[in-house]
Amino acid sequence: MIELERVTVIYNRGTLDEKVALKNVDLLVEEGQFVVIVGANGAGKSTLMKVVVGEVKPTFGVCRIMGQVLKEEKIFKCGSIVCQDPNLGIFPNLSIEENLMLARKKGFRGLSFGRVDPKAIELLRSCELGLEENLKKRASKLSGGQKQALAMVMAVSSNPKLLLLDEHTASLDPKSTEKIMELTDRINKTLGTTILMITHDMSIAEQYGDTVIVMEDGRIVARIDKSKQKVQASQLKSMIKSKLTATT
Amino acid sequence: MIAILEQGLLLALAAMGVYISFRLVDLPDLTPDGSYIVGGAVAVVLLRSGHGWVSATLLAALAAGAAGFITASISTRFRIHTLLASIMVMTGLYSVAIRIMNAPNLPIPRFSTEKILSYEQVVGKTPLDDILGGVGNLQYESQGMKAVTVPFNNRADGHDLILIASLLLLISFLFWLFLRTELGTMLRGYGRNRFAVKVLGVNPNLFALMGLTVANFLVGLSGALFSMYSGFADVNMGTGMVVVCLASVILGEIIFGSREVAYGLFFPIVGAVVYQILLTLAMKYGYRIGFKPSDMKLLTAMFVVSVIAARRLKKSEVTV
Repeated sequence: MIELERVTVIYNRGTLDEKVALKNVDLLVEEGQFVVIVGANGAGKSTLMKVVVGEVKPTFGVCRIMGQVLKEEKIFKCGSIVCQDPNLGIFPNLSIEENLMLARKKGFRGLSFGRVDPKAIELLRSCELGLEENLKKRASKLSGGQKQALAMVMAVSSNPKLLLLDEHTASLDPKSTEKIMELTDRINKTLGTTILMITHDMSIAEQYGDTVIVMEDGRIVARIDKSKQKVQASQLKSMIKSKLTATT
Repeated sequence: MIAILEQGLLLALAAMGVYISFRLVDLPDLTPDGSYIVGGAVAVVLLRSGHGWVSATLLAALAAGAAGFITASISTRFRIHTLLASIMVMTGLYSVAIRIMNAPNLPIPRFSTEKILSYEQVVGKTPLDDILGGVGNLQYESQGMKAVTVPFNNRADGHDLILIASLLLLISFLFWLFLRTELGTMLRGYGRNRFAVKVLGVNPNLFALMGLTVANFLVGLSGALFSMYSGFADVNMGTGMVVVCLASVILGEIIFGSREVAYGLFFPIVGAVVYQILLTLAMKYGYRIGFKPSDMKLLTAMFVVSVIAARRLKKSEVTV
């Protein structure tokens, strides 16, 4: 699904502000996988995500999505992204119903009067945040957790093959984080959507995902496959810490 | 009062255009200062060349819409802020309007002057020939013009009011219907979150093009109808149009408060009528405290700034 081959990203190359954000990164995410990338600030997680969505072009190396080098607009035709800011994933001036109506499919729209996919309502109900009862409510009036849940449901309404999550729980309280992560896991397990998630929350990396990738200083320093290595949640934290301390 | 309402509703069309650009798609656009003139100029030139008022109005609005399309194209293609792109286009349109009219202003002949003979035609020479003792040229051609049919009678008997109100209601209804469709909903969504449009696999620039084209189409329509209503097109008639329309939109927002009726399309309509009434009152009674008609644009600008400042001080959301 996602294939990064010796990707190096250098910002402001050839200037005094030159900064190497990614160094020879190789990454393979297979279809249906739930991959979590962890690392401290400045580890290169966000740049890696930008490379995947086509926002940043690798200085060296290549990034392929479904076997092809795609441009940003093409990537969003087969994938969705949910960012840290809950307002980025929704249309705040539209009602929940209108948001879901637009998210039903990808691409340009015509002059038809849209409808909401019942599956989206079902997914919304499963969040247990009461969103399905107030479909006419303006999205700007929702709480941060509700907005992010709506953004998540919107992101998967069009049945994308790939879901990218850029620290999507970072601005939420613990209760909302739990709800959103349960929803994320459900999306991966029930819909089979490939998920690439970045986070700096170790506890999330412990509990969720099939594979945890640890990044440090622009490099991938460890790849922990939970199912193959049969890692217990409690062991994972110490494994990640040991990988990080080994590099420093 | 009828004449005030007529002028208010004509202004409402332009205000609706400004509402679309400034509020609905959130792209500050100054093109209306130029597209209003283009609308008027094209309509008058087409009427004078024998076109019917319907086709003249439609073509005038399309020409103004094209100006909006150019602004959006410059802005999206070269990544220039719409404000700067629209200043360029607005400045250029001043020259374009003079080119269209081949003069800074052009009247609409309401009655035929074909049979009215000029002094030169009757006498066979000009007054200058008399003074200088020259020989006149007997080949003076008729300079008269055929009367042009316009939809307005300017009698303030309700005919014009019904016509303008009907047209405004029809346009508002059609646009309201459009805003309910998937495309219209996405256009509304684009105004607040361009990134989400991109994530849905749609190029957000298409909505900038669509929004500014429709906005300037309505402004051009207003300019064309106003020219027919007032009987002329003038290259200066668009000056300050954006500010006046913005004042109307803000007045509408104040009147309606947090109630967003019909996606806010009533804001510019009600606001423009109230603005026109306030303007008339200010012109009628303002002289007592020293106001001149020429002070109105200053007062309008001060009103817009004070409302925005008041909102900022209250820390409420302002997108201007």
